[in-house]
Amino acid sequence: MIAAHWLGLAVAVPFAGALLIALAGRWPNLRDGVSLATAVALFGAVLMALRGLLAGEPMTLALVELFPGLALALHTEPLSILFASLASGLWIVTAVYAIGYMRGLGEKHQTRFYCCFAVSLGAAIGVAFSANLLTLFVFYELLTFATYPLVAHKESDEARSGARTYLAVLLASSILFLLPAIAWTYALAGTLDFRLGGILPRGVEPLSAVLLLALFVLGTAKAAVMPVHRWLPAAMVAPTPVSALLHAVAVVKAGVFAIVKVVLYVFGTEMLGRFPAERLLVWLAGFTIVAASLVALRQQNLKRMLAYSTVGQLSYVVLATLVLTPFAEIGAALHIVAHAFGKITLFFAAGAIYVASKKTELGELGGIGRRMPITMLAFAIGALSMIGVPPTAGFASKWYIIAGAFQLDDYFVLAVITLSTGLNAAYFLPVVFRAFFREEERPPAKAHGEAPWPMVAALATTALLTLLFFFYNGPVVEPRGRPRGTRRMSGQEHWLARPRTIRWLWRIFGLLLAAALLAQWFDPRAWSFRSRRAVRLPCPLRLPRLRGDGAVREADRARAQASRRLLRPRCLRSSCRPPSS
Amino acid sequence: MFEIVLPPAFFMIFGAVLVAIVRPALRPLVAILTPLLTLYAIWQVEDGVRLAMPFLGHEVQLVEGGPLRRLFATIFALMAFGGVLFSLRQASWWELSAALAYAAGAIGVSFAGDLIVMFVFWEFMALFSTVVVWSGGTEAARRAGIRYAIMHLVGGIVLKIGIEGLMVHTGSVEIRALTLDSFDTWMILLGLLVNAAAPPISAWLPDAYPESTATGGVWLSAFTTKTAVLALILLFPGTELLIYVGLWMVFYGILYALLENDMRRILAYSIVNQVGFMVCGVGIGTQAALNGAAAHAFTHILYKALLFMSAGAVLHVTGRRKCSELGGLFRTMPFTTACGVVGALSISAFPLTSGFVSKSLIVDAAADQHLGAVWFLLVAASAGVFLHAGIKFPWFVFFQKDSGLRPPEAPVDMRLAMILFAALCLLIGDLSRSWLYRLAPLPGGLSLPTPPSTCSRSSSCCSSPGSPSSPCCPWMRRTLTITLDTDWLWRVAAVRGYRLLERLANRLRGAAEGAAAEAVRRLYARLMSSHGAEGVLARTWPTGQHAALERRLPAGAGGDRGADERLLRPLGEPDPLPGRGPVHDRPEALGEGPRETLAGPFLAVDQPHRRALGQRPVPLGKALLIGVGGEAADGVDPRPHPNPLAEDRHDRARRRPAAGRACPRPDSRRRSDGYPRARAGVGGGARSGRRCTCHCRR
Repeated sequence: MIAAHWLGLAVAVPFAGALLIALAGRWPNLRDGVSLATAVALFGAVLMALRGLLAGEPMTLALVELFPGLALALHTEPLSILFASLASGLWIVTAVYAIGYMRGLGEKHQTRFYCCFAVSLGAAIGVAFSANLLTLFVFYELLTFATYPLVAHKESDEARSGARTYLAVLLASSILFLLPAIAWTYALAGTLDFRLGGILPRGVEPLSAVLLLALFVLGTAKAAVMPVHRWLPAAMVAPTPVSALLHAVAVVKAGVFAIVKVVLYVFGTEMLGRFPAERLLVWLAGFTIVAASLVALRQQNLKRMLAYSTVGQLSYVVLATLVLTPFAEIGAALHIVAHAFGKITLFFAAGAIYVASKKTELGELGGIGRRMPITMLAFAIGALSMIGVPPTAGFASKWYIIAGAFQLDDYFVLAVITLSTGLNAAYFLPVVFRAFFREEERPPAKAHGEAPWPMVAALATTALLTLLFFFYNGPVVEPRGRPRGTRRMSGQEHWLARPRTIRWLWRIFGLLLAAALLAQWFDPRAWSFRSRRAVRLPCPLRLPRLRGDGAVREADRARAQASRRLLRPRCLRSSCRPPSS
Repeated sequence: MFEIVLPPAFFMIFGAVLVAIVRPALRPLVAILTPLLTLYAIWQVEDGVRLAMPFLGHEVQLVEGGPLRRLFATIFALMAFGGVLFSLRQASWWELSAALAYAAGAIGVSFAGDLIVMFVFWEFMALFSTVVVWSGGTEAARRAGIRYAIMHLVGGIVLKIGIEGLMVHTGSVEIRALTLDSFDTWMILLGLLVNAAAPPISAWLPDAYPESTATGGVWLSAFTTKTAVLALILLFPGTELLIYVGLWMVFYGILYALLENDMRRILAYSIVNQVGFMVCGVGIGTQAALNGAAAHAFTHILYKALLFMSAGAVLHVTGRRKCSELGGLFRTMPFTTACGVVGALSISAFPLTSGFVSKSLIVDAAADQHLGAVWFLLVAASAGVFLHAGIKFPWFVFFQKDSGLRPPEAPVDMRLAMILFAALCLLIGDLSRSWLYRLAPLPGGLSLPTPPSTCSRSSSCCSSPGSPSSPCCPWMRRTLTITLDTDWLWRVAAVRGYRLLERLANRLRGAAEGAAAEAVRRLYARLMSSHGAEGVLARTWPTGQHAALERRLPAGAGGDRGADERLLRPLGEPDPLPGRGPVHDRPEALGEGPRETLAGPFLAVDQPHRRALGQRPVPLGKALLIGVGGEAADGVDPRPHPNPLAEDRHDRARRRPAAGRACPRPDSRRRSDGYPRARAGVGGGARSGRRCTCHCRR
């Protein structure tokens, strides 16, 4: 088996998985297991492809020749392997999450759901690995169609209407703009293959080149640049796992990925840099960022707010790509990853809130952080990543985008980023405040704690990834690894100051933290937020049941009472003051 | 003993995490040990770059030692210790934990070897100080906290932009003295000045700090502004602009503190005022002035924390914060009163207190540089400080007229923290032993002020207005007023501006959408008049026999006899009603029935009328079978039409509420669920007169 076959396998695995899921539909446990196994297998295949790429083997695989000179072909390079491993890796997490979500809500048609999910992922991997524009277009359209049943999953009027908007905008834009753009490219260049440095001939007129680029940007409506963004909020009627993986990672990233590919491999940064009119598209992306943030500021529905935030954040990638400097391209790649980790965490949290408490509106979230501390902590981390504050992933990507803007001294981009940071903070921070520092408006109909543990595990994982990506973003920045001998600080460093030592110290630090956590015996009372009712935490050692809240067991109750007697010597409230005379 | 090069900030972060997760019984122990261990770690860091690691493509210097950095880190750790003592029993665990993390950020900034590390810890501070503000728990705290966070995050990104510009343009992110000659350095200065609370963006400080809890204010008063001073000393020593900025801050702080009524807002404004002295010292830029700024930051943290502690203690036991509601507390709170007075004397640079030692350094440095006007203004300002913080605060809170309050003395742990800081203030003030020098050796050798020279300059001036007549100054009356600050710009003007913009944008969008829909509708009607199912091109035209069958066609059209006559006329005869075209060209003749007609599968000539009557349209096959409409059509099998799209449109037409039915939410401006509803078909625009005025799309 040569390395390039892994590409074909990676694309084939999800489709085969979809088939198996359909066959196993009668046995829910088996079906969910197949879904999870498919995700793991896909990730493995992508990793093998990555290994082949790092080994320097040729990574091109022709599938079918449709027309003379135009074949469906797969290919990989660092950017596509990044996107593919991101989508497939997060699919594993989402598969776990989806089990909790779908069972927690008792959704119908789960087999159809998992089946379409797998097909969508297959299409996304196909987009990632396409070797030319034609293959990209085919998988891009397939992705659109495969996601439609997922958006309309609830089969209510609302879901149908949202799905119709979804389909109408995506299809219309791709047929009206993307297809002509591809045909035009073929007419100009005589080929549709992706080549580093671009395929368009040198002599292309500036006007037509910029028009072509505009067709590409508007044609890939999945990137949700402002006139063609309406499908994204409309698609929020979908179940949350779909919003999380597809409308924060796979589908929307397929859009921005296509734009990045077109800019880097069809036009080439050097060529586009010669056209001043390209600035128009930079302005469009900048406008989208600011306008989407302004709209998000007024949203009352949590998922809808997240959707508009996604619109803005996607335009960051488009903006960074169109700045056309090396740092900005790194920033675009980093932002694809950083936004994926952050936004999937946010959506997971939104879904967990919905499953546990059936709340969807921002105004209802008062005090929810006391009932669901892990979920809301993860939400806060995701929100910080959206704002771009250390120590979260969003910081690193914004860092490179700003650095890229400085390579051109592009003050427009700087102004947009400054403004957007303030606006992002303005619409995310109130949610965090409300969750932790407000009281509940009224006690919920049914007392609840955290959502089912698969969901909590999934969102905790992605939140940790968001934090870790701040420290370990090296593989994205320098895919080939750091060249040896480039480190300064060789002579003077003490053995304790060596990076290896530091890494070990970090590990010890983490272990100590974990030990301290374990030392709490997961006693919820120790975490009590002064609330009368204790917060129930999921215990990894003794997994709670999947459905329902369950009763606290007798032993737990006895222990909790004992610890309350021991550990509450006096009132700790700041409001519990001696009466003033 | 081997050298430990773990960043001292990590000790503090570790402690903060532990405070959050350990059992309540262990919390006090952890919280008290954390600052002490950190202090130990701080004193283990030797000069020079001690720790570097690769990050963001740079070899960032995580820890760089130095006398100045050690001085600041020491006072931050000391402050954390005092803060923990003060808030141990009173604060919630999350406030304590966030406050320790906030202190960790400040210590991290003090040891940052380059700008990247400095920025990371800078943002760390912004985050956790926001949590401290929010811990106030009130609605006012929420709003103030969000404003505070946005201000600092935007200030942070300005700083980030400056740092990155420097990185890209010069290739270096080392911390070194910069000159204000490029966009990048200006941005860095601006970012630093946001945290230093320089006007006109200083209003975040008196906005947010007083909204925190009684204990939170103590923490907040110490770190953010002082790290900014440290960064200014490191990056912009001797920048002339800073002299003027500093002077402005000094007088701004005095003026607003004099006008203020809330006791902690008075203290908050006096932070701006005191930081103004330090910024001025940085602007003067000689070694003595920089030493003065650093020393003043050191002593300022001590006495300002002491003042905030006494104010916090009063707030804790009385629950009141306005000067006009307080007074006469010295009877039952003698200890707190004494500590408050020590703090007030220190901030007024009274001899034998800590403020005297450090402030004179700055004032003397101005004199040594022959900056006469600056010297004069600083000395005059010292007198002003005496007025607002030295007299106004203790006088109105602890003395003056009796408010009738008889609260108990502050709790023991609060008193412990206060006595620690009061003792430090007095110890440092004892010039003969030069305690400040022993606590923290200053860079470049310290030239402590000699008592005679400073006494002659500063203290004489600052004690001269301190006569008992000062409280009679009309500006110092206790009044229930609100002072307008620059934060009006973003608290009120920005919100109003946003609302205006939103209204404009919505109107524009509404107008554009309406115009577009109208244009589409007109185009559609025009096309349909000739190409539609009943258009000229699709219409059967009457021969003699057909004319009888066609009679049914316009019958339902609101009793339009004219159309009947026209259609039933023999071929070749003139039109009996000239000027009135066939019913298809006059949509108004059809009344209120739905306009939309599908060509293709729907070739039912009487379709509009059937729809108007709420009947199903006749499918193509049936229509052909039964000829052109007529009575037979009424018996058509009402099975759903095979075309799903057509069925959907048809069903929706049936679902439409009757005109008389009230909208369920007639007064709402917004769709409740936030999702777009099914839109009416293109032809729906024609019935806009019947449409609900709300946005529910009915």
